Amino acid sequence: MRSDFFLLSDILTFTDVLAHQSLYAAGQLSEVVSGTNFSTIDWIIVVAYLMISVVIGLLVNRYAKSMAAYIGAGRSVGTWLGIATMTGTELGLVTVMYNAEAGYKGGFASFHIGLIFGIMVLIIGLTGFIVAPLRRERVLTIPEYYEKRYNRTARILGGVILAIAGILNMGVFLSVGSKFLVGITGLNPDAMAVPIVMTVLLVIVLVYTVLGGMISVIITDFVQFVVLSFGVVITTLLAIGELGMDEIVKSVEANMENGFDPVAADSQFGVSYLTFTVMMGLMTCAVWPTMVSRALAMESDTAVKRQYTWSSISFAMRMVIPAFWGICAFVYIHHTVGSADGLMAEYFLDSGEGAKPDGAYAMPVFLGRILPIGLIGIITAAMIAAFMSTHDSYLLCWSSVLVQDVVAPIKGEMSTKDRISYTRVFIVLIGIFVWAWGLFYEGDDLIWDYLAATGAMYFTGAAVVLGGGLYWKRASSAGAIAGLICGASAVLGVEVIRGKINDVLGTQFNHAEFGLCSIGFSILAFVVFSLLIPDNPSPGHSALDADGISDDPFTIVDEGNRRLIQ
Amino acid sequence: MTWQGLWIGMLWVVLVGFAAMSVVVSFLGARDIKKMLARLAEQASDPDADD
Repeated sequence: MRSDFFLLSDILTFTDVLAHQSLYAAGQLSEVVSGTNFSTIDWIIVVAYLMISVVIGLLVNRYAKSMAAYIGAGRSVGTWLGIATMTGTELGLVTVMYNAEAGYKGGFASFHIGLIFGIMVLIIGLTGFIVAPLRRERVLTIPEYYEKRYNRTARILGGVILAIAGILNMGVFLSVGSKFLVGITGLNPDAMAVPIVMTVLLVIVLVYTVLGGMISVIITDFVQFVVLSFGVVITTLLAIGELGMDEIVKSVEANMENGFDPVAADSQFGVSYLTFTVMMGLMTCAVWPTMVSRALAMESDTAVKRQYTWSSISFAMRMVIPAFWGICAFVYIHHTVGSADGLMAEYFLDSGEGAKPDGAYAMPVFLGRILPIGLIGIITAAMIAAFMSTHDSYLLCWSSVLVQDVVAPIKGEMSTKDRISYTRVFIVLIGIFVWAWGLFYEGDDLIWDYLAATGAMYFTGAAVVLGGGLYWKRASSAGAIAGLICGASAVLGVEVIRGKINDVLGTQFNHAEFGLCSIGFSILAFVVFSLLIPDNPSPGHSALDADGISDDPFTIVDEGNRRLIQ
Repeated sequence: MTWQGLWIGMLWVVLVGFAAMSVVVSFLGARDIKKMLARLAEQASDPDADD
């Protein structure tokens, strides 16, 4: 009861503060965003691009005559198309926004995130760490592997943790994406633009996700890849041309506390942050469901490795280039001090009482100033497409996990039709949650730190339990359950909870230190419980047989799973 | 090597590498789409295709 009271009082205080801040800052912000180059021509480009994408999607859907073609594009996706779609899905609008914010606040030092993730994807591509043996297990989802290697309890628990972490993780996607659109198009934030854009985007995504098939998703992902690739390179060159590389470096040196050294104590990051990023890079690239689902759908181990190896370039790019845009926004804003466009500096740099500028707007506002008419429309359209492709993949992923790995194992028997109906209901429910969470939650952490803390709730335990299951013979079900529970403790690193714990303990731990503790606890619990409580000593036993079919009353679960994908 | 040199070098390597990769993936990916659609059309015309 005590904790409930604290939570409620926090919420009330929090909303009061938000209301006060928005009154102060929104007027300025609406004037700042109104300086964009976005024009009627760009709106026409956006609408035309989206309509063409939808038409292409509908046209190619005529090929989806079977469930195999509808769900898995007939397992006919080649390596190069696979790389394009993987990049298309993982290069979402939220990715661009959180990296830009990290660059805006942390400078060039934020590039370490892209460097680490690129290296980790490359290592996984060269070695096949976790993903190659996981694919050899012929499972369709990660929780399904938990049941095959451990037991059904581990599967259900793993599914619940995965779904909660994933849904919390995407909780900020909608609001962050809407801020980009408001910032770059110059819509008026005073006129409730963010909630309205959130609602419109959500409705489009829900319709698209419920109706769309895998073939149309892959084709539109490919179009998005081509357009975004062109846009990313041109935009970066334009930004360098506008500001000059020497000037960018000098300005970061002069105006940022430590914009180059990520391990310096006075930088935005630090040693524990960098250490956690290394651990997180390895774990997420190996076990994050939206990535692993593509690995599991590839034609062979070799194709999986090739896909990861090539994708290491785009994984580094998707973090480094947006971070660079954020740095350019920082430099541009400092250049506007005392100029005709000085309102930007007034809004973003003013640290007066009560004013709390939203750094997430810096990059889109900057792009709105430097991109010419036409190109700005193309970039915005591609970003909306990126937003949609990420959302449909994530909505489908988390709702599928809830149905396949939680509801179905509990209910026992479920027809394919029931599964699809449940999946659609969950898609809508998750959509509503994401909409509400996006409106309410505005912590002070970087967007990236929020995503890291919520994602760690899943990937910490999953990496330990998956890695242990694949590479350690003595791993047991008790160890897996203990490892998953301890891994989920990483959610304590989310700012709202972490702040309360720090207050009680009188400490100042950041989310990275909470994450590192969770990794340690998870490994320790997994090893200790595996040694103390080993599984039934029947060698090679698993809850599923060689075809992935359970030998108990839950047979229909895995049969249905397989029918959906094959 | 300084941090500054590392990050600026990395920026150019990533930008040029991604631009080159994009060209390759765009052309070969378009070829893969043609193959995929041909294979799907074949599957769609096969009455024994998996459902």
